[in-house]
Amino acid sequence: MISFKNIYFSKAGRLCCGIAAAFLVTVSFSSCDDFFEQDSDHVIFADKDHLNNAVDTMYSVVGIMNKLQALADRTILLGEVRGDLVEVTDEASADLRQIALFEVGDSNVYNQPRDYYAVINNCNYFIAKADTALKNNRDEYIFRREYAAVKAYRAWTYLQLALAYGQVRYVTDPILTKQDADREDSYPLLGIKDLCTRLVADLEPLVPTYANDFPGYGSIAGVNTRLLYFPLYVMLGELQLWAASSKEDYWKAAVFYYNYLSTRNGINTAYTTGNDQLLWTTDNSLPTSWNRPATGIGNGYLAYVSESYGTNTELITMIAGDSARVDGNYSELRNIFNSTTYNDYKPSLQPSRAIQDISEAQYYCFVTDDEDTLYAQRELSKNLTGDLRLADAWFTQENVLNVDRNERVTYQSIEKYRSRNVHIWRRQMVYLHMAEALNRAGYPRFAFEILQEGLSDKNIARDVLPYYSQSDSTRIVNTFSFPSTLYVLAKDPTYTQNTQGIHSRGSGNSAASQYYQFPEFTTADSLELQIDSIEKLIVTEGALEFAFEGQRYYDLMRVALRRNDPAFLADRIYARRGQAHVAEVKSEIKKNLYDTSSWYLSWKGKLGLGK
Amino acid sequence: MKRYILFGLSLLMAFPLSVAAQDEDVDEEVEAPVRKAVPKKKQYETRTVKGRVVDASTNQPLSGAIVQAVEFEGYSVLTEDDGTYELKLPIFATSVYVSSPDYNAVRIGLSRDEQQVDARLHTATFDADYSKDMNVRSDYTASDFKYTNALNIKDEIQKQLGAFAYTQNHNATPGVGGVIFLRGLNSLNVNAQPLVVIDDVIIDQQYGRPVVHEGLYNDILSNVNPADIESVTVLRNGTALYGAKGGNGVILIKTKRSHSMATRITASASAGITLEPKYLSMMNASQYRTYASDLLKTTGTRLSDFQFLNENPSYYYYNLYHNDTDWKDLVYRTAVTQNYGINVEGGDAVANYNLSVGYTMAQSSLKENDLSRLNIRFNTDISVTSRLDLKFDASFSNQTRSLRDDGAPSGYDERTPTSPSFLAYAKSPFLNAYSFGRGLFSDSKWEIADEAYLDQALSNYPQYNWRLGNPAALNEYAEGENKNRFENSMLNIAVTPKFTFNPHLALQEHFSYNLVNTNEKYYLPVNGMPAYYVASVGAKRENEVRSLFSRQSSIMSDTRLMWNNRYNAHSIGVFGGVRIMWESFKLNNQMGYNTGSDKTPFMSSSLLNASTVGNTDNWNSITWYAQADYNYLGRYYLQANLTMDGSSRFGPDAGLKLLKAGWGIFPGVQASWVVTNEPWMAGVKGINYLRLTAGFDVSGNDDIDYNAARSYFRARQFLQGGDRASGLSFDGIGNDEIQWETTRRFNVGMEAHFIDNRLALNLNYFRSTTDNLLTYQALGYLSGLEQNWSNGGKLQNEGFDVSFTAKVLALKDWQWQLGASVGHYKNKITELADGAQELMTTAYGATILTRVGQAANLFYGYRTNGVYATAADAAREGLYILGSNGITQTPFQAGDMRFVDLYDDARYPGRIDENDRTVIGDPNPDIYGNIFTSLTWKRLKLDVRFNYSLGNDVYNYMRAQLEGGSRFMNQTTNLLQRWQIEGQQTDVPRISFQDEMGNSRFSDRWIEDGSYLRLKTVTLSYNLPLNSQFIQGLQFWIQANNVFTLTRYLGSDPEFASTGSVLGQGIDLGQLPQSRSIVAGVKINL
Repeated sequence: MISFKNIYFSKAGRLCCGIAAAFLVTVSFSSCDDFFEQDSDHVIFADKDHLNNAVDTMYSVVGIMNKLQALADRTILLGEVRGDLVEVTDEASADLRQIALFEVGDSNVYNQPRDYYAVINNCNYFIAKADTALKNNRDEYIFRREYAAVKAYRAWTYLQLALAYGQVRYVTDPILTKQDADREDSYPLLGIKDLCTRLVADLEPLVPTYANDFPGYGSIAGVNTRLLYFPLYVMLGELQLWAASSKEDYWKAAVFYYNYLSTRNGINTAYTTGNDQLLWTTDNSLPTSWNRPATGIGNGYLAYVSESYGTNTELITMIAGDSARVDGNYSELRNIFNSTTYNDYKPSLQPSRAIQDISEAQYYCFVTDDEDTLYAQRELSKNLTGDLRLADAWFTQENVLNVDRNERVTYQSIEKYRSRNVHIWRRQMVYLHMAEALNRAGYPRFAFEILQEGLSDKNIARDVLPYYSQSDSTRIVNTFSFPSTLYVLAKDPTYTQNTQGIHSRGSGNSAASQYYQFPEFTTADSLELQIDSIEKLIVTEGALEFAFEGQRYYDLMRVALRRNDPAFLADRIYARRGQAHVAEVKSEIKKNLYDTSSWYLSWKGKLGLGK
Repeated sequence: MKRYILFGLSLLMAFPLSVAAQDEDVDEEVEAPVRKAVPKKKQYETRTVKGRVVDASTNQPLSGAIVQAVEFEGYSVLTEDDGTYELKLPIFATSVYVSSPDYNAVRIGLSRDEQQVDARLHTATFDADYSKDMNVRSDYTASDFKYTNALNIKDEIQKQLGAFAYTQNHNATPGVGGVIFLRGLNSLNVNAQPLVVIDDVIIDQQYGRPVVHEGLYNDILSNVNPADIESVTVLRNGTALYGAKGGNGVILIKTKRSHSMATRITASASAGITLEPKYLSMMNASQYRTYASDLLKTTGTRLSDFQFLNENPSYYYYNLYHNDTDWKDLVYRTAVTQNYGINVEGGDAVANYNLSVGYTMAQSSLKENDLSRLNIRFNTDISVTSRLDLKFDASFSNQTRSLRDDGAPSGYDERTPTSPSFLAYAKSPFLNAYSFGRGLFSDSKWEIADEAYLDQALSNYPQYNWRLGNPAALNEYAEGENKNRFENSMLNIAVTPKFTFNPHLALQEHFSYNLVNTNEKYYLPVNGMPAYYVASVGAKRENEVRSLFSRQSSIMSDTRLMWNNRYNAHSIGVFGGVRIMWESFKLNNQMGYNTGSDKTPFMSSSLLNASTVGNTDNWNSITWYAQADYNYLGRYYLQANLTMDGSSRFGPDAGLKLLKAGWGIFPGVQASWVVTNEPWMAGVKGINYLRLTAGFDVSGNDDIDYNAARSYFRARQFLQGGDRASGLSFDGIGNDEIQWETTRRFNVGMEAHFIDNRLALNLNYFRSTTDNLLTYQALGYLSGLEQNWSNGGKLQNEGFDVSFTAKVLALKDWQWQLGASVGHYKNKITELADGAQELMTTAYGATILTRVGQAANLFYGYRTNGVYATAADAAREGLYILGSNGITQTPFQAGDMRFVDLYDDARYPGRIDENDRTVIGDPNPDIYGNIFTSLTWKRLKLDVRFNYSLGNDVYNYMRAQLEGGSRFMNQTTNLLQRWQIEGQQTDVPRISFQDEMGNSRFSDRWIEDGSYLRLKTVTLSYNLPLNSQFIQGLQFWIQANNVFTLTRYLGSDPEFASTGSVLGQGIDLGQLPQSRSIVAGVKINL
């Protein structure tokens, strides 16, 4: 029922305008663009000014977070499925299978460069339009924290795009018309190294002021927004690690990572690796049973990473997702890795023979109270041989009844995927990447310390400095500091242990293990050989620690490119199903992985080095 | 509520009425000057012509007929008693126009001699042959709506304008309107319906705006009572005058104005009944029981003991499941319609007015779908001073409907079927409509418990909506003003002052304000509807409520300067001006689930999954236009127009860039040659009139997305949960060059009258191309967004329309007229955007193909070739389908459809997949039109009208639902022939739960020939002569509609239109079919 009151009163104004205009039809044409410019209650036009107050800014940053959600799943999947640690099952979608076989078509849902540019264009708009000079009444800049956060979003997105496609169209101004969007050729095409170099230059001026300063949006729908940003130092470390080609470059990367660790929690604080370990025994006596480790293996003791934020929490950055498909930005990773009701208990990915081999190749070492060094039994079932992290992350159970379908299935759970949110960066990665940088900067012993025993000034002085020249030692001491009061290693009587070698997380007491010692070389090129062998250890450690987390393929790629040795990547991927099945895998992957151009995606001939 | 409307209206109407009354008072006191400007008569060299006017049927001379020179005012004469006349007229005049009351006027071309041929006038019981105005553009006009019972003028357009406007009713719900395509399909993705201009005001028809009820179409034209309409003109050529809005053709509607100073009051009343429609033949209770039992075997259930299959009459549940209910009886009925109207016209030298009030109450043969409508229209012409005229028009209409969903559901994932009309077919006949308890059925209380007969078997399919509602209970519990209601009202106020500077020059301003309000409430009750799974929510819901409110206000100002003059043989008329339109459309559409109870059917934000969507679309446009009419000697006519359009919907770089905005330029020219006005043709026997026309027009389609030209952000929810936040991100990237679609149309035509005007022939051919098609195209990936509207692609239309009318019998008492029209168009896509060769669209399970070189909108699906009778047959062909994982192959077995493996892929021999699809149907008709005949005996007239469409294919979606054999819904008796045993020869495949082999997929099984010939209307009318002081005339009429339909179509009605857009024509959703109706009426002239 219409109301007459409405008609006559609310419209009276317009009516009068109409009449007035009707008699002024010879109105000058110069106002045509104003005449045709309309407003709307439902959208905000880009040519109208906004981003000039704090509320708009928050909406815009949240809008970018929103767009980032579309990239979450593929960040993981492109980094994992192309690697050697997982295999697709029969239930996998054709799109996923394409990724595993390096035959990604243009319509593959994971091959849509557009989604990256959705983030980039929103960032570009913000960067171009946000009024960073604006201050509030307490004389604080309103937009600068957001500005730094948005720049980091853009850098991360560009890096992901470059890693997937081998190149990017580098656009820094917002695209506001279809015509601009069509002028692809007017934007430079950058390779990974060029891109990273440019982005380092773009971000570096923002540190240290904004390195750990983030917009404070509290909690959104139960998600601590503190975890939704990409800290500048880590971002810089990542970019520098990809860009690096000289020892100095790697040194710079290591310093970025170190800066993160040393400033994350404020001045004179530490951000240690923590002391969480998977243990066969808790009391350093012999285990009575060799099939039931002390910590809850298979329950994700390490694999499940808490999403809280504190001075000693693992997670650094994640992309938040919705909890139900209908809500829109829902991560499918849970249903791809795990048996769920969404997939009739049939996951699409399963751990490969290769990760089992890598895991079994480790030796779990523990030292008893009597200082006896012992090694866990070999040839145990349930992946308990060697490193325990795989068994912790991967849980299976045969013959489980699917009540919905009334059929029996094998239940699989990858404990790393219990959350609706997708984890991107965590603490161990910072340490491991710092090790990688330090190794290539010429300090393999420093790097190895991160793997084996953990960092503190005490053991750096003992295990690292003596092996390098005076100038190198001085450089290390002047740059890095891991005060032993803050970084506490095992058996320090004064303090509780809070840091350790990464390898110890799954393989027990690595420092004591005869299987995990720094390789000694006596030849003239021993440094190069050391670097080589430590790099392999780092890559292996990456597989153990980050299996299924989307890091593997890019680790292999980075190292293979650095070594100029495509086989470093290719041979491992061909050995996905174990060394015995290399020929079989080679016949399935029709691309020649010894040719680096097969490593990248390409999309419609418009972007990507992939062939 | 209606009371308030009436009250408001009376207030509204009282004001102008009293103004008119005051004027009259003044006239009485002061001697009114003669206010009409008398045109100064130019002095031309004259000559004299002589002739005679006779009655064509009796050859008796007609005295008192007016003979006037065409194109020259002031040269006329009355015939003498012997029918002769002698007229002095300018030597440049080449024809005369002869008219007489009760006769149809004729035109006669003049010969060089003084003596002219006889003018033979036919009685006005025939359709008129000539109009006073020159028809340069070959417009076609209908103006006889005396005995119409139509609620929407489109009914009459279909009946009377047949081939000139391809018209299809949406369905038979009263006043729901229909679709019209003029000159083929002139667009692909945006509006292809004609522009509607009512009394020179462009009225936005809200094409493409949403409504909530399925089967409802909010046709804005239903706000205009056909009884108020004086004429409807289909403008197919010369649409350049409407610039970027004219590309789809224009329908010009003129409402009644007063023609006489004497007060004339006409009251009319009619009432009628509409019978139940033709039904599909459904299985009975025991047949369905067998079907359900067979289908159960394919669900994988291990149970065998079901309550509904227990055949022991002493079993407690026996009665519950052994009924034979024809649900249609509970849903359909014979409907009653009533229509009342009163029209008052009159005035004096100062002011003329026409006031009409109408009220219609139309039941639908589908219960709970009734319409009531109130119309008021008041048109005045006021002569303020000798130089200033003023038209003031006001109208208001209000329609109220009760409503339910109608037709087959678009799917089953979001809900269980909600439409009573569909449930009446699909609901199991062995169930009872009344509730069951203690072994007995209630005789008054509807069954509201959810269907349970498959509970055990389908318990493993919690997301599968198999329970059907009780349509009778649904109808009852969904009834209420606050539940299912639709209301639409339109208010229009127009003021048109015109100032005449001198007889040649005038300035006119036309200001109009139009307001259309729509208010719709939708409610699915808790009782009568089972709980259903909603896939988009991922949970079960009990019921649903929705509401929609929209308001469109339109302001138009049209200022024009008009000038005309004559220079001896040359006559020139020019007008030009500017039309500015401000449009604003606001929409608010809300929905939510689980109201808790049918006593609280309210939309509120606290409902489950409550959501609101809305639009605010503001747009405006400026149109500069000019038209020049020229004729030489009344033989050669030339009309040229030029329009320049600017719109907020155009990109700033579109078309001609001028003053920071984009402009479209639309020229048009039409030329006519009246051959019979050549002196050498005058008097040629057998040819009374011959006019040839040719023209070329450029016009456009500005149905561009409101925001397509600009980049904008939209707020989106980031994370769902308590303290969620919203974020702004780009939702649109503007296209600076977005512009209208351009249609260039060439036309030639002929209008001719032969043999004493007893045969009239009208012939038109056109050919057009439309380019810059508006298409949702991929944006460059750097924008981060998928698509935006762009221009690209081209299509062609070519076709003709022909009509003839013959006066077969023209006697004194008997007149018999016969006529027919044939229309044809051939649409062809010549180019698609981005170099694509084809586009596919899906709708209701159908794939619609648009491919270069073919017509738009083709059905694209699988070919079938019967059913495999034996396992050996199936195995021999070895066809299979591929599972969704890309690995599993499932072979076709005995009883499956034999799909034709058209695409022979060497890598995958025998695979039936989408490559095997082909064009299986074309919804575009080969020809369409009407056939009409009328027989008059004295004052009794029988008028018969057919309409037809031949060669159009239909996708019978309704049948696909009711013969799919994959759901627990009652099926048509066709399913009795389903394949059941090895070796059985049949063309109906085996039934299979969830149809894993896709036997019921979109294929030629569901494509049918939709050709039909329908006896649309038979009207018998009688005009009673009265010479009373009070009653001047009395007319009675009785009319039968949809008397019969000749068709091979298996559905209930071959005529329907489920959408107004091009893509989607020809899909029969099983909405209420048109059915036979009988109406009787009376009209009284006071």
